[in-house]
Amino acid sequence: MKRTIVPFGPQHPVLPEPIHLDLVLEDEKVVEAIPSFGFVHRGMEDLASKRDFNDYLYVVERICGICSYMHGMSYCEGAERIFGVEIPDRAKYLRTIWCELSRLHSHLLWLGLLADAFGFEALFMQSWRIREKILDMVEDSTGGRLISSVNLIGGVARDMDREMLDGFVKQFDKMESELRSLTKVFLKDTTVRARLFEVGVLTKTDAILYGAVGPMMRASGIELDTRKLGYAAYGDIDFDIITSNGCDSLARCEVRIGEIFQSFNIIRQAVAKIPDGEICISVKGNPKGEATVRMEQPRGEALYYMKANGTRNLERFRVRTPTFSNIYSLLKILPGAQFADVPLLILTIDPCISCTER
Amino acid sequence: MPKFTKSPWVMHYDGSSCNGCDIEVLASMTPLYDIERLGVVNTGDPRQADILLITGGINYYNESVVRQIYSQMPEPKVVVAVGICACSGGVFRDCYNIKGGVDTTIPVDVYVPGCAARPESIIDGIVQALEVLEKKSAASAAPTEGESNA
Amino acid sequence: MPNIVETVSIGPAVLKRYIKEAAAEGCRLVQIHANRTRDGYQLIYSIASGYHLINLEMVISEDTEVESISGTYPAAQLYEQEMAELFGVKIVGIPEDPRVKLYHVQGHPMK
Repeated sequence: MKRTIVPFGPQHPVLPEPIHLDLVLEDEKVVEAIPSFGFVHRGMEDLASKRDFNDYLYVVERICGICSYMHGMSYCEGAERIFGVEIPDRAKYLRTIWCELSRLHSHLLWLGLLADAFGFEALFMQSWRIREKILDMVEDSTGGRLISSVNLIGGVARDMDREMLDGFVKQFDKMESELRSLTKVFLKDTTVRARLFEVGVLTKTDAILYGAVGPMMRASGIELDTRKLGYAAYGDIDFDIITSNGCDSLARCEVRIGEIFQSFNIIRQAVAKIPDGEICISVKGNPKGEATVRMEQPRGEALYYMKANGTRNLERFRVRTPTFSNIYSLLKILPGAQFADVPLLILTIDPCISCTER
Repeated sequence: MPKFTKSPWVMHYDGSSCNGCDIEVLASMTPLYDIERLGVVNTGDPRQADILLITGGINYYNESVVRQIYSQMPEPKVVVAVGICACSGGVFRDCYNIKGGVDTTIPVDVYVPGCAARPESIIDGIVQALEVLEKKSAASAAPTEGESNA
Repeated sequence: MPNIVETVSIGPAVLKRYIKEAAAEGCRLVQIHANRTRDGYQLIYSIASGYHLINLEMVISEDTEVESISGTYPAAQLYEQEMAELFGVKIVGIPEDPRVKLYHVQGHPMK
């Protein structure tokens, strides 16, 4: 059959971010997808050698505006490992709470964008309406909506009082019931199911070979969540890893919805257990040594590598973000798909191109 | 705020931003901030857009894309640089692949500050862009010829 | 779950065999990156079996040619291309597709 090449992106109505794909089509079926990157590449890893390691924290937070909090936290965690300091327990719990708040807002954002990708505008608006409440909480506690800059090497910069913590938990009940009725549409509605069910199948073996991470991997039946490594206060918190054996887009949706409700529970536990005390210790001197940090971001496992040589600047800072690892899984699931499903499939990996290219 | 007989359509393009401003641009279209109440509609097609919202700085690879999108928009057109990276390059200014703000590539009419720019300031920027758009359409309606494509 | 990071130093000659064995045991490839040293590069291949992370460390000179491992892990191609574009590491055996380019930068900015 005659092949057609359709250029997709970088400017595309469905995608808020620039990625370019050359889609080779046979009739309506995709046979090959050739990606092209570089629209967002800034060269942030190189900037580490030009900035003071304390100031570089603010650059790291801007690797991505959605998981900004977690990027900052991982950087601090890495620096703390190099310095060999242990942060106060209260700071650990506060970090856990903020981590889960950012996971919540990221997953709600994704639900909305997914709904937009299959043309369900009302669902998009509803998801984002609930997301705004989470952002209000983030803003109340950190002072910023997306970029919070609340982490410091040695702890956190702001505390939350009891009233605020209990206030958050109180709001969760109402939000959960709203979300239950909303997510029912994603999982049960016939038209939504028709767009998601058995679309973009990634088998378990392929998920390992093609380097899928995060919800993408867990939706293929692999039980792995780096939160179980016990960074911040996750070691004290009881939670199960949410997986699904569906391997398709619906399974990815299920896993993320499961994680939304799980995040509420984790915050509840953290609020119940949070100890009193200091929130920050002072760390002096320049770092020397290297550290590898792994962290579970909303999009999956991220790996940070830091190498310091005793000067004010880091010798090397490297971050492998979840989307970078998921790109190959995307290229794996695109061939064989219908052309109309392409935006949807790109969204099921929850792409964050600014993370990928840095 | 000027009165308009037609709805101005906005288009969003992500330059080399960190996603923060992009998400805030989208958030300003959703129920809490709801920019559609000003008659503004979000479109994905540059040929239908009156206002171009650009987030993030310009790097050496997306420069031509931004130029192309700008040239595809019909006159009169207004460019809004959203966020500090779009205004000047911001925190990424010293990165090797960053050329600078949006005004290094195409003319910018309104600058919206903030990192990430808050939805309130984005809405304010769009309202200012509406005023610029009105002035530009009045100028192009006048018998003297308006500016040709940059 | 303790956070174990193990570092193993290897030479470029055994890399491919090592990676093949890891893949046969069902390990995941987590990432590959390069560090610039004074007269060459330090390449780090991180593979993980469950939560256990192993960093395969390899010190090479500027001219050493490293074999691509994308035959075993297809996803390795992106990391290898990243190293080649940003650092100028010489990787041989990347499936040639001239249209796939990662960052479209001039030269090797981090060399």
